[in-house]
This record gives sequence, C-alpha cells and structure tokens, in this order.
Amino acid sequence: MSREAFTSAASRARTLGSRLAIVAAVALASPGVTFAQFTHAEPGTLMAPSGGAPRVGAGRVDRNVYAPGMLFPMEGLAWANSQIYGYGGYMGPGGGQCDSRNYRYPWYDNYCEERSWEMPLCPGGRGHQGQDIRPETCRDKAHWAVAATDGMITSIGTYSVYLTADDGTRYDYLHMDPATLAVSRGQRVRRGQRLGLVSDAFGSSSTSIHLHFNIRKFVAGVGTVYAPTYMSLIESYREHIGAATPDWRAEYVNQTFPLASRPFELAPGEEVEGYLEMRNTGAQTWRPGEVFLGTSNPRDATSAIASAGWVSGNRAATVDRVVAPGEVGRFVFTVRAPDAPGDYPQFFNLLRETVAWFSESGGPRDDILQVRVTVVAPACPAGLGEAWTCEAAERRRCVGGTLEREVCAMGCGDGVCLEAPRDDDGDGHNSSVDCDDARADVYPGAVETCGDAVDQDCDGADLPCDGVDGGVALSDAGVRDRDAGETLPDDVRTVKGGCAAGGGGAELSALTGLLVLARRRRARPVSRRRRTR
Amino acid sequence: MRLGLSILFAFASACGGTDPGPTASGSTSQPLANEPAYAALDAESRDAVDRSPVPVLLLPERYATEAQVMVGPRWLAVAYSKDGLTLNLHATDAAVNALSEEELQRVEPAPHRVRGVPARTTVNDGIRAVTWEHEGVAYSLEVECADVLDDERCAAPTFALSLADELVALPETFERGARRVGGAR
Repeated sequence: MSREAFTSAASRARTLGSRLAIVAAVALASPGVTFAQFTHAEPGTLMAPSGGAPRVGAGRVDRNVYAPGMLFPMEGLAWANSQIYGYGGYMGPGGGQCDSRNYRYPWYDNYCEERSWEMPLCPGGRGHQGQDIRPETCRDKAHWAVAATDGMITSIGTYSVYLTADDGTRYDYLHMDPATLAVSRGQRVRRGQRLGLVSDAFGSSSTSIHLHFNIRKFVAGVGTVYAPTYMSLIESYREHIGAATPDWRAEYVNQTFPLASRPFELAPGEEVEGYLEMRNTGAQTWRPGEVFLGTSNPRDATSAIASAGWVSGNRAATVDRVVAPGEVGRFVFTVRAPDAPGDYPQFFNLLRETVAWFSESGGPRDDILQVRVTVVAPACPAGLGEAWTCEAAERRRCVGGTLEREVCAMGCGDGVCLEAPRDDDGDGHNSSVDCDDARADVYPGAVETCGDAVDQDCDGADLPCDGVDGGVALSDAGVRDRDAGETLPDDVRTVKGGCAAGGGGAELSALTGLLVLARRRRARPVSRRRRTR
Repeated sequence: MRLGLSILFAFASACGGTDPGPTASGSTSQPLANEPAYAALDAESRDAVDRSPVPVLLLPERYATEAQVMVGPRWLAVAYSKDGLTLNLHATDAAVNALSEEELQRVEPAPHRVRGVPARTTVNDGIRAVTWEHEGVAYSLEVECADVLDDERCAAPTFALSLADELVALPETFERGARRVGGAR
C-alpha cells in the first residue's frame, strides 16, 4: 500500500459537527494531528466477500495510467472500493452503505470484480469494468463530479454522462443525479467543470451512493474497451489531495543480475558481483550507512545467497553514494551460490535503517525486487575419480556423477588441504597463492607464455596467442587488463601479467538486451578456479 | 466517385466480403443528401458529419431526428436519448498500445460478428455495448435503458448487435477514411 499525507481537517470537521472548532484549533496548532494517510491496495487487489482478506492479484494487475494527467473526477475526498463487498453490499460483511468503514482508506481496485460481464482484459474474461468511488460522505446529491479533462459531453442517458476528450478517450460518469446535471449534450466543458451530483441514480432502479467511473479507450488489438481506471485515479487523487511526496520512495532503474524470470544458474559456491540501481523518488536524501538494500518478504531473514561481502546476512549493501531526490543510487553486492543445488529466490527492498522500510513509505513493495539464483551441480570432468585430487588451490573429486570441490586456503597437496602454506617448488610463492606449487615457473606475476596450456601467471587461464589472456578489459573497475588487446610479435608470444594487474578481467554475458551479468574475477585465484561454466 | 466506390466495395467483397461499412447498409448508391438517416439530421449534425475524421456510421432513420452527431479531432459520436432509451455510437482511430504481444495472444477472439467483422459485446452497470473495428477505426455502440431490469433491449445483447448491423454507413465518409488510411500507409 502506498501512503500519502493529506489534510482532512475540513472533512473531519463536517463529520464531527459541533466539534468543528476543536478540530480546527488542533489543526492550526499541530497540523500533523489531523493529517491522515491516503493508502491504496495494489492494482488487481480485490475486496473479498463478507469482509475477508483482500485478494491480492485476483483482479487485473495493471499499472498503466491510461489517462495520464487527468483530473480526479470528484470534488472532496473519495473512497474507491467495492459496492457489493463493502458494508451494506449484498456480499459484504453486513451493515449499511453509510457505515463509516466504507469511508476510509485504503482504496481497493474493483476492475474485474466478480460479474458476468464479458471483459477480455479480466483474468477470467469477465468482470466489473471501471471503478466505483464513494464520495466524501454518504450524503446523496451532495458531492460534485467534475470533468476529468477538457472535452465535449457526448451523451446523457438516464444515469450516464459521457465526456469525450480530443484524443478520443471517453470518460463515463454513472449514477449522477439526472435532475441536477449541470451540463447538456454537445456542450464543451473545461477540466474541473462541475457535471453533476453523485447519487444513487440507476434508471428506474437505484444503487448505492457512488460514482461509477469508466475510461473508455481504443486499446490496440482488442478494440474499444473499458480500460483499467485504478492507476489513473490514484495518480489524479494524489494530485487532487495535494499529497506530500513520501519521504522514502524508490523506483527501479536497472540491475546487472538477471531478472528473476530469467535463468541465473551458478555452480555451488560460485560468486557473482552485480548491482541494482534505484531512483530516489522520495523527499529524503539517501546516504551511505543509512539507506540499505535489505532482505524482504519476509523482512530481515538471513539470505541463503549472502556472500562474505554483505553488510550482514540480511543487508546486501548500502547505497554507494549520497543520492538526492531524483538521482539514481547503486547497490553493489555479491551473491554466493549455496553449496546445495536448488532454487534460491531472494526478495530485497530498500530501507532507511531504524526509520522505515520503503514499502511502508512510498514503495516499492517488498515482493518486487528479486534475485533468484539456481544452483546447479557441475558435471564431473573426464578422468576425475572418487579420490580427492588437487587442482590449484582446491581439491576435487567426483562422487555419483557430481563434482565436489573444496577450497584449500593454505594450498592443496596430494589431495589434502594443507594446514600451513608450503613452497615446494621454491619459486618464492607459497601454496596459498601459487596455482601450481610443483612448477617453479608458475606463480603469480610470472611471465606468461601463450598457447602452451599452462597458466604461468596464475590469472586463471593460459594466454591465447591472439594476445588476450582470459577476460576482456574491465573498464568499470578502472583498471585495464594489461593482457587484453595487446598485439604480440609472432616470435615473442609472451606478455607480462599477474594477479594484481591482470586479474581484473570481466566476462560480460548479455543475457538479454537489458540484462548484463558482470562476473568479476576475484583478487584471489581461488575464486576464479571455482567457476566451472 | 460512386463508380469508384462501387469498384472498391466490389473488390472488398471479392476478397472475403469483410468490409463492414457501406455494403452492410446497402446504401452505396445513395448520394449523401438522399440518405434518409443523414437528411433527417439537424444542420449542426450534418456539419459534424462533413467534418468527421473517421468514417461515419449513423443511427437508422427512425432515430435520426432525435440524434445528434458530434466530432472531435480524433473521434465521432452519435447520441440519441428518448423514451427511456439512450444510444451512443463512438468511433475513434486513436489507439493506445497498452498490451504486450504475449497478452494479446491470450486475449480470446471476438465471439460475435457485426457488419461482417468480429465483434465483442459486454454490459457495464446495465449498459449494453458492442464493439468492432474497421480500417483502423474502433467503433462502439452502447445501449442504455431507463428500465434497467426489465427492458428487453438491455437485458440481452441481441438488440445492440442487431442495431449495429443496421447502422447506416455514409459512403463518402468511408471514401475519405480510405483515402486517409491509404495515405498513411
């Protein structure tokens, strides 16, 4: 739910009658006391029969604003919700239509609410169209509906008024009192002009006191339909009530991790660094150490894909810089694939530590930002048996067709992780850094010979004779891979490289036009070695 | 011009007969002024017809004297309201691309036909609607009854579908539309 503050002093004063003076005095002395919060359920969330829990996603989840810039079609406050599932509705929890609980936030979408009406945009092909909106109070013929835009009144029926804008969009107002209509057919009206009073008019019948509001549009591929109205109403209502920008709000901009709907398969223990970029659409400035990317849905759970670089098990990163409203901040973090194969979805959200989760202020919701890692067991290389075998700074074996690996922090010898580093080849680099402690010509920083299938400089790969050793230039790290792109004479196919200088290669894998997965070579050769794909 | 139209419509018929306009009304040989549904309109409405940015369909003659035609830069509206019956025809060529290809593929095909083309019907708070498209223009005909519960014309889609087939196409405006669409391609 989103929240905005708005002034409701006048509204409450009317409701409280004789307490008007008291309320007004409080409002003047302390405006915050009489502010309420505009909240709304997400689009597609419908009210349930008999006051049951709202049904998330039961309607049409559509965030399109089909009528951007329109004016909210009613004066005063308004309450968008269901007429049949609300209090007094025939499938509601009882009471009458004037029950105060119908006149409070949150708003609920009722596009696609259960009806037999054909509607190709509804999940079941049928449902309510448009949005039912109760006026500020339950008084009949007391609240004005107004023109959402400049346009022409193109039809007036017994309980309908149609307003057509220049662009062909039609705005339908149902259930205004026909006796007090302030417009006539063919009349040009201005945005905000009063049209009629909200009532319970329904031809020869009657309904609850509400405005049924449609946006009728030509949607390509479907034809003229009653377009989803909810988001246009929310946008316009925020404007209408002068809602303050929430303090903490963010909008998704970009990420280097694959979207959750795309495959993101890693080997056990594999680590991948990436980032998430969000735009600050709130009123407050984000600062490193204050605004974090935390685990959500559920909140604060220790993540299975947390790496050692995280702030904590439930805080992936803090924002990378001071981000003023309107600017974009980046949250850089590394995910580590758990050891056991499986699917590891992880939701994130932003939070201002000790103050608020963004979902409680202005959004996004807790179940929007997701990194989903799928851990797949690597296949065994040919010739590897069940006995542990050293491979650089780790040991490996193959059990039941699955490759098992174990990192040896002090080096590996004879299939056993060493408890203390050694320098068996006497090249001055001990087994914790030497990727082959049996060869004196192999060590970090050694001269690389291209095309000999030996990784002399321990950067994770032999130097191909096209002059590129391993990865490509890593421009975003600010350090260019010294091996990359250099042209070598045919007779001198060696190049100086090393862990520190040449270890910054990145492999950019464009999974889609939008998604780029950046895999950084780690400072320690061991991480590079652990990758199998 | 009429000869040209006849050739155009004959061609359309030969290619499947899906043209929903003048052929459906059977009035292709009628000069505009001789079309009763047009002649019965007041001067303001006739002027609106002349200015319409989209091909014009009119309510049948029996509704014409009470009908009002209105136009905007991208739309046409024909309205009628009398004796508890409100009719509204809305046409526009301003489409919004709001649905993904994926969703469009899931949308059920239009189950009805009017004027030789697929059509959809629905009802919304008692108001019956039938919608269809022709040459990039979306048409929508709505029927509203004061007697919401018992008026047969709103109790089922039959009346709206039948009335949509009865709408009177004005050939000259369709020719204008064809020129406009042709020029845009």
